[in-house]
Amino acid sequence: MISYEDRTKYDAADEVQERYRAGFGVSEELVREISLQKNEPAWMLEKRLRAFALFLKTPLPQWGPDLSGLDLDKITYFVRPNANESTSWEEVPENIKRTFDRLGIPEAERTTLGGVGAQYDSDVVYHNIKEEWAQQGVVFENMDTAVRNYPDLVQKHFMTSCVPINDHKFAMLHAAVWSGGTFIYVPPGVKVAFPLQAYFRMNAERGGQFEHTLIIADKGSEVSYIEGCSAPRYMTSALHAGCVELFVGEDAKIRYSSIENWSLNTYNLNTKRALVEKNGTIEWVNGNMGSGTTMLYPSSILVGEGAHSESLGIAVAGPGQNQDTGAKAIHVAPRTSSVIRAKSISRGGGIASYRGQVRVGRRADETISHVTCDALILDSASQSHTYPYIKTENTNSDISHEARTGRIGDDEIFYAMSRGLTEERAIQMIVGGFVEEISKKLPLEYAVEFNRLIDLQMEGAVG
Amino acid sequence: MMDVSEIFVPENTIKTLTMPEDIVHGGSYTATVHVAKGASLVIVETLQETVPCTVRLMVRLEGEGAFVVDTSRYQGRENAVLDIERVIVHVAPFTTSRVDARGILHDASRVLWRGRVIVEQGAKKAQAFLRHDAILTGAHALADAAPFLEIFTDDAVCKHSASVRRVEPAQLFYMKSRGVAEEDARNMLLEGFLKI
Repeated sequence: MISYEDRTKYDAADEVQERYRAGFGVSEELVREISLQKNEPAWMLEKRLRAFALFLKTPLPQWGPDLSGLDLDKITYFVRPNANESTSWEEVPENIKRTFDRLGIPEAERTTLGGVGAQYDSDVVYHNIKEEWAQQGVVFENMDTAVRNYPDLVQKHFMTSCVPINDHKFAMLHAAVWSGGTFIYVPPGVKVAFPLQAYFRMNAERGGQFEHTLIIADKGSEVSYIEGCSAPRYMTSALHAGCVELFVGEDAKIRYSSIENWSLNTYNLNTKRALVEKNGTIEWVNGNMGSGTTMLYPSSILVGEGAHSESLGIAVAGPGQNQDTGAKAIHVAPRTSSVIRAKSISRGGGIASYRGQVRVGRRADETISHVTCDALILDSASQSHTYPYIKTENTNSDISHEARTGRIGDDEIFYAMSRGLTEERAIQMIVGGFVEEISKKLPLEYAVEFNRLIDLQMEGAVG
Repeated sequence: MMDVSEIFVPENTIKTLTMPEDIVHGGSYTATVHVAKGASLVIVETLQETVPCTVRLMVRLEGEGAFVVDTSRYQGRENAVLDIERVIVHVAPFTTSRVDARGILHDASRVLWRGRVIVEQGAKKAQAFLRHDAILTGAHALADAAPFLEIFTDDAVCKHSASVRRVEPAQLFYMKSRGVAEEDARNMLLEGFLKI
């Protein structure tokens, strides 16, 4: 079991030797340099350059949280640690190993996981999958390696139909400078019983991390994937613009969980999307606790008849944080269904927003979609907003949304305190109950980490 | 024609706002209503449109205990495009808002419905409920609804709900099993949906 004393575990930077560090800012030379260092095929370089040209032409989004503090010319887009990718934990350089040990990664692999990947700045330093899954043809690889080893699969799925390179400004930037990440392929009918995991650590000051996660679950397969993220705290801003593409095949199921705990100077502008085929199921579990500004809206595009999407999200906004999160469900095919449950807690002047969209196309007969948002505001300096968009063109579907915002009732706290709890403990307990639905969905070790993080966030919430 | 007006509801009075007749034939109407202490505003709006129209209404609950209830109903037919916006601003403490808007979209009509409830920091003990329901019957109809909540205080209870539905097949079946023709049953259910 992992134990956590305080937040410094995540916030402290590690001293590490770098093999390569690009200068500040992004340029065409840098894009070419990244591609060259990775020894990529020509089509990938061409894709990067096309995306970069689009990026230069596209303005920043005019909606959502304020991004004026983000100086894209003061970010280092490519930092390689002095370590080669390894499948044995012992071979990982001592100082990097220490970081991940501290975060409890190898511990988790031994006990509950089917495979683990760990990324340090721009490079993956460790990757391993348990023998039994590898034998059944499950591929769990570093994304850079996958580009070389599985060119057909990657070329067909990498930023094409799910998240195209011209999706939005940060997807363009991501396509131009992406590095590392995870590639998973699950062959037809294979059900991976243990979750696969990746941990992303951004250590460089003013760093940018642009990892790409691509999961393909073939017909009738099942896989569960967990992602953890952290970064040390510096005074300057950092940028995380990752991209997650999930392809859920016919009758397949993917559960994607992520706990994002970036340091408070990070702009977390992430793109996550799933394409779900006939009778496929996608389950999103998202916890957003870190980063200063988050814009994250995991989307499910239900393209096959009977496809189902479930989205569960929690955002905790403390002092100085702006958590703009939500979910999207795009119903294209008939008899598709989606459930979105979003919870947020804001305190100490934090801003938590739910921004979601449900779209039902003309062909999507008998679609059912339900959205529920619950928000807790713990003090009068904090804010909570809800922006749900519903757009329907179908006459035979059922879409509903409900939301509730409020604070913890005085009577609830009074009740708990009359049973001998301190006020702080009472609030922690009530908040624990509020988020339980999400922690229940996580494997035990993660649920423990998640609850600790929530407690940590809530410390000092009283008075 | 653009019609902009400012309406004041004085202390401890009740005002019923019926939407002016002239907007009913494809116009635009913009108004701001200021509701003073202890005053109530009742909005009764019934739009029956076949052509594009715009209604933007802002209600500011400026006095303690101010109250607004909005039970507007709309129906779009043919190629109507309804652009409806409601902004409710809770400025003072103990203010209450209840918005229950419903509409039916026939033929190729469209609605762009935007509701926004803003609870300012000073609006302690405010209660807000924002609700929008729509039914689509037209094969080329479209509903684009977004009820926003923006809460700047912790001492308020705010809820909202939105739905876009169909005529419930189970209810239709029930009516038909009682001998009501399908078309009649459908009309009765739609009529019932719009009842206040």
